[in-house]
Amino acid sequence: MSVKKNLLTAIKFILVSLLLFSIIYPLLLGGVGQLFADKAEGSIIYRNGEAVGSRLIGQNFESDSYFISRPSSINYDASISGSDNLAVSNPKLQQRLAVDLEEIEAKYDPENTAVPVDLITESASALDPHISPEAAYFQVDYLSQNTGLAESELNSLISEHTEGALLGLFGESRVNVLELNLALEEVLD
Amino acid sequence: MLNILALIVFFVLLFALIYLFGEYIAWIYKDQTKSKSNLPGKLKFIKKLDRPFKFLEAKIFLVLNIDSDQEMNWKQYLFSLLIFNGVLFIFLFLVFRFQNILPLNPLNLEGMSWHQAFHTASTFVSNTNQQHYAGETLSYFSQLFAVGLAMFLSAGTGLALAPAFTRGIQNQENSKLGNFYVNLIKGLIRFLLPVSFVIGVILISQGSPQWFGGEIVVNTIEGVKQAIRVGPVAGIEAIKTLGTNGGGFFAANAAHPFENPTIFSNMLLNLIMLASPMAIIYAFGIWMGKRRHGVILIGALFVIFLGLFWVTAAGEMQPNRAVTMAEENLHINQSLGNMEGKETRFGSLLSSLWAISTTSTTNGAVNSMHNSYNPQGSVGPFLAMAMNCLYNGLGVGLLNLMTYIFICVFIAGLMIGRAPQYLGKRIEWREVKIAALIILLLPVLVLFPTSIAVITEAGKEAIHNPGFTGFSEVLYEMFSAGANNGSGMEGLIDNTMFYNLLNGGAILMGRYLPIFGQLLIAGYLSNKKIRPETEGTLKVENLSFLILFVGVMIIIGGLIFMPALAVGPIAEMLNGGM
Repeated sequence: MSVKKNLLTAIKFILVSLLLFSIIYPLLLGGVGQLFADKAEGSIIYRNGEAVGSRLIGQNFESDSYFISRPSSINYDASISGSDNLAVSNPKLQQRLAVDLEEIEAKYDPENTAVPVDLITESASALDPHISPEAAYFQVDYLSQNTGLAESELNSLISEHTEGALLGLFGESRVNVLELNLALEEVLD
Repeated sequence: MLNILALIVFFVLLFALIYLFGEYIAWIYKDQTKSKSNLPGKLKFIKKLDRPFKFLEAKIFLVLNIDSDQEMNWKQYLFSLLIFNGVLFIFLFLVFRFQNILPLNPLNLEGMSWHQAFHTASTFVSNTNQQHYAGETLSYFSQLFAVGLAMFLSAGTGLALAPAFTRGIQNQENSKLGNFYVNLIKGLIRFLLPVSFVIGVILISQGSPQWFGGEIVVNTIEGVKQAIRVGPVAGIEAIKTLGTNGGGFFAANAAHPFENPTIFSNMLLNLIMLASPMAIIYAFGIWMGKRRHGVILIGALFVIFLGLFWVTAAGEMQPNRAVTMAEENLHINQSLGNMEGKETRFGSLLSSLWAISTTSTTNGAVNSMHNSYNPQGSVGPFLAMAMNCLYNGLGVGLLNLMTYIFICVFIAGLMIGRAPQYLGKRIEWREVKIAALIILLLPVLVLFPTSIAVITEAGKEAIHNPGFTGFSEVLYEMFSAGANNGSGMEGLIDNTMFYNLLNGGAILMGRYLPIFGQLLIAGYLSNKKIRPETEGTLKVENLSFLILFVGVMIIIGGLIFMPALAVGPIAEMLNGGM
């Protein structure tokens, strides 16, 4: 093919591709996605008709009567994403760990209980919706004092909301913090 | 124990998927490669798809005015490819530069600077997908009409090279390698589009959005406003993985819960990411009528893959040293391993598996942050990129593999004192010379820019973490560009004119110079006679070939970079992990 024919074919094929891959493909997928209604739209959770968050996106919880999430350098601002990328050797990581551990010591007074590592490390997306079940159980003693609920009640809430590994093989057990806190609130009401 | 069982299940599923994809791709290009192998009986039902596909292809050929019987020699093939990619590059550049005045920009995002648009266009046209921007700063128009488009077309371009190269070996004194547009369109219509669609639907079922609503603002139960960015994520995520692209819709890439919502989606994406480039190698065996040879090649690469995975997984299951050092008053339970920069649902094992998968293919998507890896953990991804011939990119992976094979066959020929020959074709000094130059290109494209970056202010300013890791960040960035991988130690502040131009240039050279050399080799081989196999011919279907091949790859691919790695992750490791 000559240069001119090549150029013309390239331009025409890019136009055809725009139609196929940039218009038809995403729209068709969006259409089929409606079968999974709320999922295609971001898995938004509603409470009394009002959107309170997404099942998949973590949130920051500061109040004394909620379970806390993992640390996030972007403070769970879901219009951006990504961790602070601190290397093991970066002094900033050690400073951050020291500050967080001090806070945890003051708040939870763990004494001899080991602090679960996910409560002091940042996730990759900085929007992690989960914590490990250990991290949830770690907070039970404190929340029981603050909410007046019995420890056994809190423990059973956590175990209800624990999702196991896929087929018992892949991935880690975890608890969705937003869903856990919503359930906790329901019990309190 | 459970981990080992999980890995066995994973690899069994992987090999099943390679078989399926490989047979399917081999069938797509049966005529284009002059292959004599047929679909196995169990998969005969695939043939029913032929009619609708043919109908659509015929329509496209008609619009483009392409005569599908007209074949090209290597020069014409390369020329068509370069012009097509050139036009695509200009289109991408314009979209990224001027997204502010283009439609579908509900959040009124700015256009990119000219050098960032140059880098971003280079990276997407070449299937690299190194990102110097955060995904959240792209409008829907840019995501769909530039990123999404380029993900299909650059993967299609790579895929179209595999049948052409195969023809070079298959031909008996004939210079025609096939028609570039026929190969491109067949790959897109029959493989990339339908398979992406299926993956996309599964991803939506897992929670990946496919929605055009901009931002959803919610009022959290603590009364704080949280703006949640959604978009047509699932569709992009599907082709991003299938086409060994790797550029994330969001900055956090496949760690973002919308890109990779569940463990199931993670396993699916990880399988697809490995299976699509590996399937081409299997398909090559089918085209040559030697399925066993394809299996041996995949096996050889798999040995190295497992070795690298073991190094990284063992590293990441160790505690993070900084966390251990923070234990003063409190005891910390680090049984989950190094969780800094990792998602709870994936943990350290699945994160390590993904890290090696993404660097041994040229995918480059990440589901954990490699910058926060333990030093031992980060050695694996470095070495995987250094070899640049483990499964690698869609289509080009086969070509890079062949480049190593020619070197390997040549060395074997010297050892046994016979004229080197591969699948009936004599490998002579011209082919070996080009192959050697292609292999030496990567060190040039990685080590020179790294040295420039570490001796100039512009290069050093961008470094995020101090010490040895800082050097690793720069080296990693250059590897990612030169090897067309696209993953990053994302701490590096790389959106500067210095890095945009340096990496953009390396990306383009790293993509098109090897393609030029490899098509040239295909052209040379194409004109040669096919010689019958004799007693003295090197057998390529047995274990001794596998061992020889693994040795050549480790010595040539890995050792070139040892001095550079010794200054980065290895120095950090010897320094007690700090």
